[in-house]
Amino acid sequence: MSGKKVNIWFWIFWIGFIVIAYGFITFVTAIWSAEAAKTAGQLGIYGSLIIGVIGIIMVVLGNLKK
Amino acid sequence: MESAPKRKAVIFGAPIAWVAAFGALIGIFSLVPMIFYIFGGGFISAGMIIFAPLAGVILGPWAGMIAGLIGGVIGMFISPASYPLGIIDAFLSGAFISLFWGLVNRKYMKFFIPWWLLWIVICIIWPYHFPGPAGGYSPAPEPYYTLSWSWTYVGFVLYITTLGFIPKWISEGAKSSRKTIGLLMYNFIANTSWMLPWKIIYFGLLKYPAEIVAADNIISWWAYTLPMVIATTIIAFATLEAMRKSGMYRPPGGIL
Repeated sequence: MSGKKVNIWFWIFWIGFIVIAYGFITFVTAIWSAEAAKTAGQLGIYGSLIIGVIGIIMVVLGNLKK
Repeated sequence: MESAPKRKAVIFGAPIAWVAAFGALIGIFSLVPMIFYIFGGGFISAGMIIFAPLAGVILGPWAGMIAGLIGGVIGMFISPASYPLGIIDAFLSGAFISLFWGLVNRKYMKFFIPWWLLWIVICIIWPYHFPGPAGGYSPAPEPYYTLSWSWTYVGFVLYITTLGFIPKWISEGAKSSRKTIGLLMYNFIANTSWMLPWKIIYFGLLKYPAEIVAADNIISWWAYTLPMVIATTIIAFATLEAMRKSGMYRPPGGIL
C-alpha cells in the first residue's frame, strides 16, 4: 500500500491532530451552554478534555520520534 | 511513489475495502458525540464530523456517498435515537455529507452548481410557501425567512469566486498557510451546501414553525458551521498530509 517508508510514529503524529480536533471541539461545544453541558455530562466534558490532551501528547511524541 | 491497488476491486475508482472501512467507521462513530446542540437534547456525531466528510474528500462524491450510506444504515440500527427519520436520516446524516464534501471538488462543478441551486430553491419554497398553510405549515415571515439561509448564499458566492484557485491552494505543493485557508473555504462551502437538505427535510417532515426554522438558521453560523468547519479543516489537513507523505494510493475521484 505504501510507497514510502513511514513508521508508526508518523501515523501517531498525524492521527494526533485528529484526536486534538475531536477532543477540543467536543469540549468547547459541551461547555457552551447549560443545556449542552447537561447533555454532555461530566463524562463528556472531562472525557473530551482528556482526549484533547492525549492528542497533544501524540503529536509531541510523534514529532520527536517520527 | 504511490502504488495502485493490486486487485481491481474498485468502485468509482476507490478500493471497495476503503469504501467498506469508511462505512464502518461512520456507522460505529455515530455513537460518539462530537458537537453538542446548544439548546441541549442531542449531538452531531463524530461519524458525521470526522469520517463522513473524509470519505467524500478522499474517495470522491460517488464512492463517498456509498460509504456514507453504509455508515448511515449501520448508525440507524446501532444508534436509532440519532436517526429519528430512519432511512431518510441515513441519507441526510450519512450519504449526503460525503456526497456534498466530494462534490466541492472543481471537477464536479457542472453537477454541483445546479444541484446546489436546486436545494436553495427547495428550501425557500418548500414547505412554508408551497404547500404553506394549506398543507398545515405556518406561513414564512418574509424577507426574514429567505434571508435566514444567508450562510448558503455566502457559501455559493464563495464557491463560484474561488473555483479558480482553491484547487491550487489545497494541492500537494502549496504552502501550509494557503492549504489551511483553502481547506477552511472548501469545508465552509461543503458545510453550507449540505446543511440545506439536512435542515429543510427535518423541518419539513417534523412540521417545525417557520419562525423556529429561521431562528435556527440564524444560529447555524456559529452553532453548526463554525465548529464543523474548524474540525473538518484540522482533520482534512492532517489526513491529506499523512496520506500524501506516506505515498498511499490516491482514488481519482477525491482531492488527494
